[in-house]
Amino acid sequence: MPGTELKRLEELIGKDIPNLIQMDCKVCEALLTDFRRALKEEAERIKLSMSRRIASVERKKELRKYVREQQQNLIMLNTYLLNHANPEKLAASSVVPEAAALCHYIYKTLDDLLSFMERHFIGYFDLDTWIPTNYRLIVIQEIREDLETLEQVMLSKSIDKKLVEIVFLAFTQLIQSELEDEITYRKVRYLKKLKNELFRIFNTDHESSDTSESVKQLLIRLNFNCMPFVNYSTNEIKVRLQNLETLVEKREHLAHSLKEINQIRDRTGFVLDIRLPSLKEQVSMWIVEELDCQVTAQQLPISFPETVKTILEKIELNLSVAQLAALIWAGVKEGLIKNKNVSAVFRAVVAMVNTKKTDEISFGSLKTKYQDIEQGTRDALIKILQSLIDRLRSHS
Amino acid sequence: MRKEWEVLHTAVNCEISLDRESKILICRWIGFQHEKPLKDSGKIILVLLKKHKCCKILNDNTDVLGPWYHSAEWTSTKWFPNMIEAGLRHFAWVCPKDMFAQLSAEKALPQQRVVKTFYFVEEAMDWLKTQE
Repeated sequence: MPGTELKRLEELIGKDIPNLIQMDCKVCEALLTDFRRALKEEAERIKLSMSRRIASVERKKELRKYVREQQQNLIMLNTYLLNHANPEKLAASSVVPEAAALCHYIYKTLDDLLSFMERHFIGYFDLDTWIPTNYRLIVIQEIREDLETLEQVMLSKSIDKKLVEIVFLAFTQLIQSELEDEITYRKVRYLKKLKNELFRIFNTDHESSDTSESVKQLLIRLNFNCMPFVNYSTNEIKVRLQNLETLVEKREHLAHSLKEINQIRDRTGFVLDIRLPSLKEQVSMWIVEELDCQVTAQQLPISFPETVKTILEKIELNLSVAQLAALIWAGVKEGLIKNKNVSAVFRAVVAMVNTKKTDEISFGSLKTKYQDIEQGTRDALIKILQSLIDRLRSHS
Repeated sequence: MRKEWEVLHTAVNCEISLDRESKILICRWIGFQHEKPLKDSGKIILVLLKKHKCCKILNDNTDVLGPWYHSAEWTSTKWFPNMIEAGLRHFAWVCPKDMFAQLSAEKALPQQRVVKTFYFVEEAMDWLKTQE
């Protein structure tokens, strides 16, 4: 039974409401307004009373016991409400003046008190306690109530359909688990938070802002650590990676992605699935593995398989790497080389050409020389090209 | 009800007694308050106040159940002014335990400063006895 702090609420749910329903009393707008105010005052009184009580408890063990008892009491009071109103009425977003509306406001007050306990005494609050079936019915209804609106808003905001599916998976899993005993307070709190935060984004985001990106950032902050979202996140990095040509660019992108995910401040205590590693951890691990793979790839000489080597023979140029880079530069600038990605040209050249000093041209040195062409190199190349022009002219 | 109190009127929703020694009229309201019986009892209290020349009332709402918004404004703007005109000076209102009855009582408080609220009958009675 609830302690002294919750006595008034217990009487309200156990006596006043049943009496009112039994007598079929008319509930007018004025009563609803006054009732909401009175509940708010009562909630504030309870919060103050609980805080004072907690401040007076010295032993941590007793403190934990008290907080958890109050948590259980609040959850139980929620379940008693089902004696007077069905989950649809309790969780309704629009309220009509009737007895069930009074229960709806009590439900909201109990929810506020639970959030208060959780926020202020998180260390003693039992997030992993299983919630009673009746309470689960109300919570499911509350989420179900907003789900349709949420889906419509998400789709109207042109959010990636795949992302919408992933977000909804978490909600539908809760709704479909009506008969399972696996729903903890942590899960309920998480999904309520997610739902509210999504609505907040949609209500505040401007037309021009990238709502998909805001949703993704939210999921990262809230540690939405299910496999579909981990795959979604890594897949996004993978797609961008495939559009990059050089190993350096790829490594830069991976390092940047790692920095980005690690710099997002997540909300302490929030996790979709406590059994899985955090989202940050899973995505970071994937990035680090990918980085390792890229580093290893760069250390290996770029070469064709032996079978190809026997067919193809490298072109041996009587040019230095710097002169070759300057020649490519001129070709690119003049439109002779039409490849959009210069890195691809470098890779092909590195694989197929030897210069007078080296059998294996390094990708990096070719790129460096390309970016910084020296005067001497330019003059020497002009001289070589001039002799080629002269040779062509002499051809009859 | 105490031995020294004399019952003046009994209805389903209200019982009115008089403490002859202190000349305090004691009104004990019971259960749900429908509009007509409430107003009828109110009118009887007014008559009895005049008849016994009382200026103090102990209004015990401890056992009132449910809302009575239908008569809150009437109580505040009609009944109380009439009572004051008839000689009421001190009105000790013992709050109901029921939240809806409590909200209705708050709505029915008059502008005139004759009412003081209490949680217990004894407290209210003691206060009334100290008033002039």
